[in-house]
Amino acid sequence: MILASVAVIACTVALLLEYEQRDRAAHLRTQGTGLARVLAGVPMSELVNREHDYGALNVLRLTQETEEFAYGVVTGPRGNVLNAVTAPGIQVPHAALPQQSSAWAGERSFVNHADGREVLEFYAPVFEAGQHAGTVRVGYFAPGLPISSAQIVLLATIALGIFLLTPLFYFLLRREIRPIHAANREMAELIADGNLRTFSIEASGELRGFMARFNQVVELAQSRITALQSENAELVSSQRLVTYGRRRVENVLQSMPDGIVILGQDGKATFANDRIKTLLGVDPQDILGSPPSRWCVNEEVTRLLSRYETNPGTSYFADTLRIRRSQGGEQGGQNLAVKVYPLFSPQDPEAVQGQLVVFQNTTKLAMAEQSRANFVAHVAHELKSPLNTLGLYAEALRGERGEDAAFRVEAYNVFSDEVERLATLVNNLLSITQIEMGSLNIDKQRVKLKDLLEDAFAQVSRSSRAAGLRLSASLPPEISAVAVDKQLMRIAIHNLLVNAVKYTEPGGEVELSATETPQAIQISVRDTGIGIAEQERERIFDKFFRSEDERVRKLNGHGLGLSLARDIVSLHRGRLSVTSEPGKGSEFVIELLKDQGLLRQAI
Amino acid sequence: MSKERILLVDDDPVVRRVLRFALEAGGYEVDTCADGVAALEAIRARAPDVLVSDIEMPRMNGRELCMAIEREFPARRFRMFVATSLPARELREWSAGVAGLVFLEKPISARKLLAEIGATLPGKGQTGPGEA
Repeated sequence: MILASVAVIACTVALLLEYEQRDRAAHLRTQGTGLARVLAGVPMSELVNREHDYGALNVLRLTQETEEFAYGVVTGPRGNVLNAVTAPGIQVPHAALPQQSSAWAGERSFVNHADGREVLEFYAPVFEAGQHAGTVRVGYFAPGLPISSAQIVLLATIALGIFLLTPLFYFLLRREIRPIHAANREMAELIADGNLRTFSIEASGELRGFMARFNQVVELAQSRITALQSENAELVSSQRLVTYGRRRVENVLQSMPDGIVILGQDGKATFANDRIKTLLGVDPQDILGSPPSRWCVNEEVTRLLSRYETNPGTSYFADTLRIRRSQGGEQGGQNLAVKVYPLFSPQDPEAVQGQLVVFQNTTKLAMAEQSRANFVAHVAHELKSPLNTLGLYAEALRGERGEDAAFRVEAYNVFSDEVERLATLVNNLLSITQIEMGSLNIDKQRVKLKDLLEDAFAQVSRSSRAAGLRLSASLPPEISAVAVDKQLMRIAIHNLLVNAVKYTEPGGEVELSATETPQAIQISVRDTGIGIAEQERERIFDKFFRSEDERVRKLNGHGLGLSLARDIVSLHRGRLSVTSEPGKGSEFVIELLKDQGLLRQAI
Repeated sequence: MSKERILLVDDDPVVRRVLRFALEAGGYEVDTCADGVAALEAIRARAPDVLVSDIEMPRMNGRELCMAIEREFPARRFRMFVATSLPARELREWSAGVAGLVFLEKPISARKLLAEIGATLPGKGQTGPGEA
């Protein structure tokens, strides 16, 4: 700063001196030119008069006693010096004057040999009686560096002023740029934090406006960022929603009991759930992106699915194919139903986007169908066998044997038995159908269970089959009355007793017993019959189920008795359970909760 | 001339009894068995001229009996009448390979059965119903 201020001072001084010098040079020129001309107008006689103190040149010397004055000379027409006055130590230079009349007046400069100072000379011609009589030459020293004491004071004052002004300027400058500094610093911090904010910087003038606009820009940017952030948040949340939705759909598809494969428009698999593994024996991950011909193990299914590789299909109806997939022998086979549904575009209901292929394991369904077919065949047999017997006897009665009284009695007995058999079958079928359809109203009344058990026991005891068995009933003297549907409960107990009698070889035992606890009543039917194999123990309650056991096969049965008994007990919120040991016997237990128990359960 | 022999197979004793009366009345000699196993043994001992069997029977049912006879006696001469309550479609599946098999739909009529048996026997040893 000091250097700068010194330089400024130096420049200022130099400029001032230069200006002063020029000013003085101009002044000197005016003075010299004017004086030369004035002197030229003085008569020659006056000019050359050396004697008289008031001669023109003496006057000149007296009036021009300044530092600049060098000399005053009057020369004749040929340049000879006629008169001269000089400053001390000055030699008048001899220089010829121009001869042309046009250049008789003018100025020129010399260098004084004595001290090397430059001399400016102004000259003018002197005329006398119209004749060029001579020339007046006035010389001045060219102005040098005019450093006088007064000037030094002036310069010092100026320098002091500059010296004093410089810190002031500096201070003012500092004050002006401080807000810029602050702004700059804040911006640096802002860049470092990466956190956009407005600046609260006090400023004035242009900077104030600039800061205001800058803050407006920041606010604009902030609001834009906020808008973008909220848009982004919305986008993210909607994307999450979409992802969540997609996951949920995929979960649903994964949880489906059926195998699902989705084929794209090019017929390649785009989705497959895990069930595919068990149904088709292929890993769902392995089939993605490849056509069915690459992964489908069954030729028929491959043929069906390969159609969609070339033709996306426009059918609104599902293509269905039923196959049997053998897996480790006859028993391990599976029945599969393959259904192909077109997937229509949500935008354009005419366009097919791909196919939904559903692989259903219909093994159980097929078993159920088979079971139903077996049942129908069985019912047909059960219905037609009595009819057959009835028909044959009727026919026989018409013939000769009809005359035989003993045969007629036999025939009447047969009719009666077969009608009874048909009625029981039809009743069982109706009951089971009604229970299954849910249309059977159970008519619960407080029933003396002991009477009901005794009746059922007595009825079964009378049957011919029971003749070879030891039947016993061990019932407590009193059983609490319970609310049951008398007719239905009778069927259930009857069926259990009939089964026990049916599947017990002659000489065996069948026992009906009942026990009562504060909460429940247990009715047990125990036999010493053929028992139930473990693998069949769960299935005996299935409708139409008939044991594979030869000893069961040879006996008539509909596969309905236990199914019906279980349904009836369930309707009473009871439980029917079985324990059995093949060859030793079985025990079926009906557990009925008593009223307060029922109430508690309901609560 | 000896009577034609009919082997009657049915698990229901009542049916065996009444049908035997009817067939004997038709002039045939009737042997009876309660199931397929017993019937097969009887055939091995002596082939009948006609077999009349039920389908639903314990141990060996009518279907199994027919198949066993087809296997064991491919050159047999006797006809087989099988009484069934099953729908016809079920029967076609297994009966195709068994020769000389006639289905009788239950309830059967002894009169119609006798007529059919008479029509198929070349010897026609038919006698009047009163002869028994």
